[in-house]
Amino acid sequence: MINELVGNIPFGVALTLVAYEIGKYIQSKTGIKILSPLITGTILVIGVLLIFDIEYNNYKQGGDIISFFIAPATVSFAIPLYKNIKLIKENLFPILIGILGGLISGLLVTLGLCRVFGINEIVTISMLPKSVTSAIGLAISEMIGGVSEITLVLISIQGVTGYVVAEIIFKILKIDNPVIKGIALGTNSHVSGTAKAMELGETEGAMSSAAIPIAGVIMVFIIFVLEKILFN
Amino acid sequence: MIKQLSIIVSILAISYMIEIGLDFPMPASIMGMILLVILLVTKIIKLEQVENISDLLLKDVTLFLIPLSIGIIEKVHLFEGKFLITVFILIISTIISIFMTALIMKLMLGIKAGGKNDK
Repeated sequence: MINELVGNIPFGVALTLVAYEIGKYIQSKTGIKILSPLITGTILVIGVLLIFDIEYNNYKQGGDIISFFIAPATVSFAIPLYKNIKLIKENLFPILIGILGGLISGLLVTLGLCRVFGINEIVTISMLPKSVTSAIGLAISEMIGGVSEITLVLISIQGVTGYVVAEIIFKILKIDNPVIKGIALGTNSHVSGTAKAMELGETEGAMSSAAIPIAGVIMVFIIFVLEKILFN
Repeated sequence: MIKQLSIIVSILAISYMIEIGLDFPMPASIMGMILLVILLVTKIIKLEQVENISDLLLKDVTLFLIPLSIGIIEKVHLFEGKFLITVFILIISTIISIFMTALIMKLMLGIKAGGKNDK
């Protein structure tokens, strides 16, 4: 009965929007920045589906409408990049090498540890694009045959990790250059990293949001090369 | 706002044509992003023509990801009980990659400044 009532597009759309708004409310009320509405919203929707015994496919009809906007949002990352293009040009070479080095070292550590701990291939592949922002990581995951749902969850955890550890790392390395802080955060912890960068300062925030699309594009190339080396 | 959205989605549609038509090895959405940067830099599209819609889309980008992340309930078995180890690997690699980005940039900017900007 219930599945007949909710087997329509508005149900999935409404449930997602309401869960997201509740998630945002919880985030602002508790003041815990890493409690992203993505995490709380997801838990809420899963809760509703389980409690009322609603089939995933009935929810998905509406969910797909919302998912459509991931791609236009990805295109929109061009704007923070364009707005900061002057500052990026001034430090172009260090920024590109820094992003490249961070992404490659992260990938090598991931691949090495996955092998050591016997993580299966499908999870390992889904894990590779975890540094970059969700929208871009999903596209890369699909391209290399990963499972986008797994990639998405791991990307969120990576974001939270970066948010928590970045300041400690900056202290250890004695870094006070806002450009470095912003790029390191945006490259390795995408949107959550940018939230931290914005707390640190305006330049940090701008550099972090500009690093997200650059890191995404560089990641596409790294993975493309890596795939040729590893799987051919 | 609809006009702004039409620009973004049209760029996306063209990117999909390129990806599928030319079998280009880059996801269409990322290609669209690069295309938009090029159009902005060459002033073919002005910032004001896409700024509002982009701010809106980026402000609530996590909303669009909720439906996909719900799908994890159908995929969680793929971890074969190694979810926590996977998270551990993720945390270690995140720490190392932030460390490396920061270190590389610090060294390179240090050389570039040649001591004159040294604090």
